[in-house]
Amino acid sequence: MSGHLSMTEFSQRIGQAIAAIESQGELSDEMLLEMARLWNTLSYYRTLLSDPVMSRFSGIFRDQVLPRMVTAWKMRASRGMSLSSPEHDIEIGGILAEQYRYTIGDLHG
Amino acid sequence: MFWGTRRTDGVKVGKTTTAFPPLAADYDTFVDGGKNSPGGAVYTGDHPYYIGRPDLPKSYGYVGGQGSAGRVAGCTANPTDTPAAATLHQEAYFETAFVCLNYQGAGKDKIMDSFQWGFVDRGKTFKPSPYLTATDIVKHSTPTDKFLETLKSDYSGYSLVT
Repeated sequence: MSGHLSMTEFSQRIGQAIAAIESQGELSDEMLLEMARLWNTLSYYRTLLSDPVMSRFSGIFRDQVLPRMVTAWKMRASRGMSLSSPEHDIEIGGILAEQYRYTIGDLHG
Repeated sequence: MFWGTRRTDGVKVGKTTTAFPPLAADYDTFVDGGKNSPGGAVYTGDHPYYIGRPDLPKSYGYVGGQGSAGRVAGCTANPTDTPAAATLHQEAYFETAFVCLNYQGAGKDKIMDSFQWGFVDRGKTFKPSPYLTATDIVKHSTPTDKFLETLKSDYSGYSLVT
């Protein structure tokens, strides 16, 4: 279970993720997992993608980070066309199960 | 349904291939989420989709933050999908259908509207089908022949009303 975030916390984490990617520095496994969870969360709450910052993160994660993760973690296509790494306990995309994304209470209802 | 050019790492997915003449490429094919899809079926039972509410994850339901595709009889639909593995294919196409279970109580399901969508350039550029260049989902009141062909191929014992 990835847990609950407020919209403010989620926005802050997106900002931190963008900064980490654009710094061109080394991304630790924990940072990559966090980015995967954030990307899954954005995919789940698609209305957030109308925000330019959210959309930017979605694009740079998909184009710059995800291909590296697929190779480095030997990710495989799995259920619902997700990308899966059992070793790191993560599925990216697919059915977007709760344990692989955050829940943002502000967006329910 | 999924149709994709052979994965860029050479791995074949699904059990069959589909041609889109006169295009030269053969596309690896399967019912997405079905028994021949990567990782196997996302549900139990020999049918090509979730069969009812008890089979669905508890988290499935209306979520305002997912947006809406429209309203029918007071119900709001917000279908969504995130096929991250499409980034493993140069071309990846989907056709998604809404299905009426046990249509008119006659014991068969009826396929309603379907939607074509997909990507080229490893998930970066939207393209709804091998034949079409469009910037938005293409809607159909009945599924395409390719949809029915793939459904029959993966689930030969499944009968339905179109």
